[in-house]
Amino acid sequence: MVTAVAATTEALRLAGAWQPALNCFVSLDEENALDRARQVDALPVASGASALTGVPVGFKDVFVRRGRRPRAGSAAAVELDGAAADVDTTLRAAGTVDIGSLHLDELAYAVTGRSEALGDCRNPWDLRRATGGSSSGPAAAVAAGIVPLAVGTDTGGSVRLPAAWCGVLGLKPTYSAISTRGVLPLSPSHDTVGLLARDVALLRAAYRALAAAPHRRPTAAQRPSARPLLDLPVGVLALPDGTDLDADLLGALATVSQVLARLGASVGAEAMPDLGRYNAAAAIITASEAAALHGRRRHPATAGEPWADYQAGTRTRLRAGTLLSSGDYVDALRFRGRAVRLVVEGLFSRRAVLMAPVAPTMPPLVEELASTDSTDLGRETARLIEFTRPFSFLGLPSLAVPAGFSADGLPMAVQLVAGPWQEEVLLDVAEALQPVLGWSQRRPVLPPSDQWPVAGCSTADVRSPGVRTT
Amino acid sequence: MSDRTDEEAEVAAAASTAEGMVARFEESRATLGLADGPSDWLVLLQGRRPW
Repeated sequence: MVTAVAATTEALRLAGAWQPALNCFVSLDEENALDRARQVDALPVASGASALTGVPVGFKDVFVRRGRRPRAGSAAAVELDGAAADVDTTLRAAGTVDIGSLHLDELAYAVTGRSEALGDCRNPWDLRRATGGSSSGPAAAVAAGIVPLAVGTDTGGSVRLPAAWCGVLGLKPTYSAISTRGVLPLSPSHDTVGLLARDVALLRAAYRALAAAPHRRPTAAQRPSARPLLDLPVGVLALPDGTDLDADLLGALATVSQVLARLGASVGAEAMPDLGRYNAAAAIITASEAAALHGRRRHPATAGEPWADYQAGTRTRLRAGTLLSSGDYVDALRFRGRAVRLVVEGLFSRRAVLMAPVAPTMPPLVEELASTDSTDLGRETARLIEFTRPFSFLGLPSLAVPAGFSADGLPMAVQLVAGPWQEEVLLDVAEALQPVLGWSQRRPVLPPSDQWPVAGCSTADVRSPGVRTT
Repeated sequence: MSDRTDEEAEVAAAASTAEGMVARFEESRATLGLADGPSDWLVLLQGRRPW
């Protein structure tokens, strides 16, 4: 059995090796992590070891944790204090070892993993490419094998999108299933804590530890092992007209459909004609709430100027939110009642699981994103989350599942969605897919330093807690 | 470009973004009746709890 000290020492070694290439950590807390690991190893066996005992974990930098306040990837003064997040307390009680804070898009309000305050986060499968965001650091750190489990947040796709682009599992649970106390809010009507891992069993253990709800045992255990998904009704999203989905991802959806059928699932097409409407309403709710929470912030160093301390893209989004009316906001919330009723009582009365794309594209080159002007980037952001944001709006549990690799060696993924509180069904399906699709066996390799595209952030820069300033 | 012009361009971009959001939502807004409540969705979600 691997001790907590051994697991933590290895995680810190890997963090040191990868950090200059990936820039996935905002801070690494080696001394406290090793102290904590020694404490975990010293606990008597009778105190109840679990799958989470001694597991090194990283947190997106939006959580209040023991002795740490998040900076949310911003040069602005983020005012979040109070007691440690419930997520931190619960995972600690389960025996995990917090090794540091992870990279994110500013305020978790973008989806590329690019940051003026922190520098860009890089994709471990191809350092020229973006991780996606906003949980960029958690996805990169899990994909590189630095930590087996990371904690992020998902408001419109911020766990699922980077998980997909980095080739790991990313779970956005049912709205309110995991406490968001002690987590920087962005859009409280959508915000969820999310989890990223490579292995389904570990993801399930973490979800069970954190979820407020008692767990309904999945039915998979009673099914024959050769066909673990026997008769499970799975819908495959019929792509709306005009969808511009990457050909490789289209192929991945077809492949996973076939695998699901082979595993016993009953697979058929499902249309969701109102997907665009859900996106439209979600955009209004998110922009209104983000502007109310962050749009009026005034940095002491820029007295009277509420915007100067945010990066340009964040400023534009927050300003737009202030221009919406209370009528727009309330109507968007009212529309959600109709939408949830339609989907829960319609689609999810026929199907246990819906399969859809995560992002419509493969991970783009960072340089391409950097040269895109802000209007086009805004449009592209909306496109990147067109398949994830609707399920945030509906509050439904969704899981990004790795689905093999393209000819270029880049990870592909599909999204599984279920009815409210049916996370266990999603995890069952992922568990059945894992040995067939085999994502957990393939690991990215750190190229020699002369192949790194830009100087990242060295380990020395992030060794003490606190955000790196540039 | 001066700071002033930058600021004006940013404000214009934000206004255009907000207008686009409202325009895309109009068709859905037209379907709403007075009985549609802003918290209906949460009641529906919670109502599906398995316990």
